[in-house]
Amino acid sequence: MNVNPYLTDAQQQILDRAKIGVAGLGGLGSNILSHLVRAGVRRFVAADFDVVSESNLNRQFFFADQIGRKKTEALEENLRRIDPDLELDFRDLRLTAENIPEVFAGCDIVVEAFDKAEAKTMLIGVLAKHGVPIVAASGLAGFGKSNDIRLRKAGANLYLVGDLTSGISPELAPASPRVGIAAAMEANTVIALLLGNEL
Amino acid sequence: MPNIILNEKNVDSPDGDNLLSFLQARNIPVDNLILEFNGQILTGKDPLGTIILKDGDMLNLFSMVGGG
Repeated sequence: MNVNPYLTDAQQQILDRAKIGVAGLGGLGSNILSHLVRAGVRRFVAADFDVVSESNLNRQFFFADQIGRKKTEALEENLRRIDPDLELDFRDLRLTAENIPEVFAGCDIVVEAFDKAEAKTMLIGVLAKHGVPIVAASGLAGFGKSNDIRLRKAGANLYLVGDLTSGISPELAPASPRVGIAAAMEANTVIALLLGNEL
Repeated sequence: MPNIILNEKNVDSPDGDNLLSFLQARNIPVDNLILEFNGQILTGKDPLGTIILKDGDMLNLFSMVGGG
């Protein structure tokens, strides 16, 4: 099975070896994984403690018949429908400052895909000291303002996607198009970093 | 009086100012803030009050907001 036949052999070898960590399997994480699997990445570590709910279906890569199931299990199933030949280490747990270094040990890049600002900041604070490249997102709620969502590099290893201002609120909900843009940009940044392409 | 480059703009800070008091003087909350200080990534959990600012320090700030 080769889901992305457009890669060169050298590119496929790089993606075959890569191990990507994904923190959170919601609107960002589920869509990031879908993009990365379709791009040809095969090895992942991911964690989320949540179950699929009806309110997730406006943007997350789950289906109505998966409501109530653990996100780790449901997403594993969905990703294997794209590529059955994946190495998935999906953990049904809450990520904390204490367990993050252990969960993502050995990952070439870690993708921040939480929904809460506190969790986003915590993960960056913990992993920035480990030197692993981090791809994170901040500011993606609402509709429109597509051009405000962009990629910034901070320090040697942090790549930050979003507009840095559009947080979720009662007036500003997360929705598929804009969350999807941010998820695709995070995934695109991961692939570019792995293959040495321009970001 | 040290001159700091904050988000690519020159600003003056009082002698002996530290990173935490510099932010507080500008009403910038450190919660959910990512700091790039001279190329190093910091958050509000780091001991910002112990970092004394000096001329030419470069500080870029990034707000983490909810949604995903």
